[in-house]
Amino acid sequence: MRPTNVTTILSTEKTVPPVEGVPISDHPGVSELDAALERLHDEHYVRLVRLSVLLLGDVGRAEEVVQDSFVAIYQRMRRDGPDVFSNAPAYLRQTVVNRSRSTLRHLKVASRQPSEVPADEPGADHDVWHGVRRRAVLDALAELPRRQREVLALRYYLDLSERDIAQTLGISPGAVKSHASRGAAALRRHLSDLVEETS
Amino acid sequence: MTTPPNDDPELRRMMHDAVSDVHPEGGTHQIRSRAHGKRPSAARWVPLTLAAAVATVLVIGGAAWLGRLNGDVPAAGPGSTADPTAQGSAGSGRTVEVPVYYVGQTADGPRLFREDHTVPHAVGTDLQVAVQEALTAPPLDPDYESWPTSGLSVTTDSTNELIRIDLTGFKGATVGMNEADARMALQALVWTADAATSSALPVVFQVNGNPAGNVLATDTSLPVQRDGADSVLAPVSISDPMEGATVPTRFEVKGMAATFEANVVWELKQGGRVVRHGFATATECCTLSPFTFTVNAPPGDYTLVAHDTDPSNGEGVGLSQDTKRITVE
Repeated sequence: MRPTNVTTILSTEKTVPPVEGVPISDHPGVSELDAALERLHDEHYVRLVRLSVLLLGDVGRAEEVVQDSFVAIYQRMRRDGPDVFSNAPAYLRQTVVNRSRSTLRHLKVASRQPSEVPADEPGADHDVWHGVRRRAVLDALAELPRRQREVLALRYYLDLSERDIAQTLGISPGAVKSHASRGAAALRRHLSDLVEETS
Repeated sequence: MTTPPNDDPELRRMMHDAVSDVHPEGGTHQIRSRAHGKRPSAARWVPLTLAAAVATVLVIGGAAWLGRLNGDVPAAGPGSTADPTAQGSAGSGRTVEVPVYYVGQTADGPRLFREDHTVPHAVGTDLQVAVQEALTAPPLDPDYESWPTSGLSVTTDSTNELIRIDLTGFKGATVGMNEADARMALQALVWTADAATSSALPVVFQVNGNPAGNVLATDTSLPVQRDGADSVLAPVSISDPMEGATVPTRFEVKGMAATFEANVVWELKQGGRVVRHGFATATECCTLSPFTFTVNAPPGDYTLVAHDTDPSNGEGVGLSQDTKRITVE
């Protein structure tokens, strides 16, 4: 089954240059394309990674998700022109939410383990306490049903309107409203111990 | 575009605080080099060149393998000629349109959705290009999912009797991936391969050139048949217009549906606002069959939604739907 005469056959095949060997100047609007990518990156990259961290609870995976999303949008713009998206940030946002969701589903078992609270000495310093609190919020988010978590992150982190959240998630504004209020209540419940400790 | 619903400042502060120490470093150069195929699809071009060469040899090998499976005398030789459509010439710089199936979530669990991808600089047969695309290209529609494992390359070939797909670098399903998603991801390759060869041939899966007993929760010790359309394809899907398409103010929508009483509900939305809506009927009830409807709408950006009948009073829960972002001009 293993080919034995690859070299012979290869020599008769036309060798195809790697894609990066295609003269870049053959593609129209390259600088425009790069400028569009730079702009999107500057304005959205960090915020989207942070959004994905809220959805996934994991920085490494979040960055992977967001980078994959940028690669996808860049490939699409390269293929169909930098103006292919009427609203590139919205498309990007939706892609990040969807990819975070599928990453989470694929990693459900591993990522749903409650994270370990960093060991802290009695009277831990301010930074350690901050770390614990941040982790507690992420863990509490991870406890919520998926839709509630998504709605809360889009609403309270990205400050999106109900209408934009509805569009991003493909659900009705009414559903956004109910997920938001149920989610907020549940998150408070999960965090109540922490709130009591801080007050 | 957004109105900060700052109705719960404490929650807002907690969310921002929780991620305030996240400082990602990835820059645009990484994105560009990955988009240009250096990672993870850097392997794409070399194996493709190889694949074109290897195909000729493996056509014979594949048939012999099938012969062994059937307990026959190996049928290698002139009798096992390649399917001419599947073994198209491997010229460079070809632009081809290939069918690609992706997994998306529906009320019935994971199901397959089809996209037609135009691939510039394509190398190899349509089969090779389509399967490679299914493995490595992101879906145009962000509602669908990329193939679960990245960094793979693939070689394919086909005879009149079977298709062979060899996954190079495949190390198994992602940890924790559920079985339904895994099985569907494998079916996505079978459906893509069959569509690319206009056939319903079974697919022999191999990993790194060796027979594979089990790939993605599927027994691959025997050739894998594609599962029936009604059990793997999405209950409602829109094939035209495509994601991101620009359409005239009067346009026709086409798709496939298997819904209760063949009913398809559609909406044209701007944000949460429904601008147009209506019903369509698929040509047959309860099994996948085509539907079409015509929409008239003023210029603007929209989300077109087609779904089955809504059991939850507009909450959008439990619906099987397909959405396309489109621009009307």
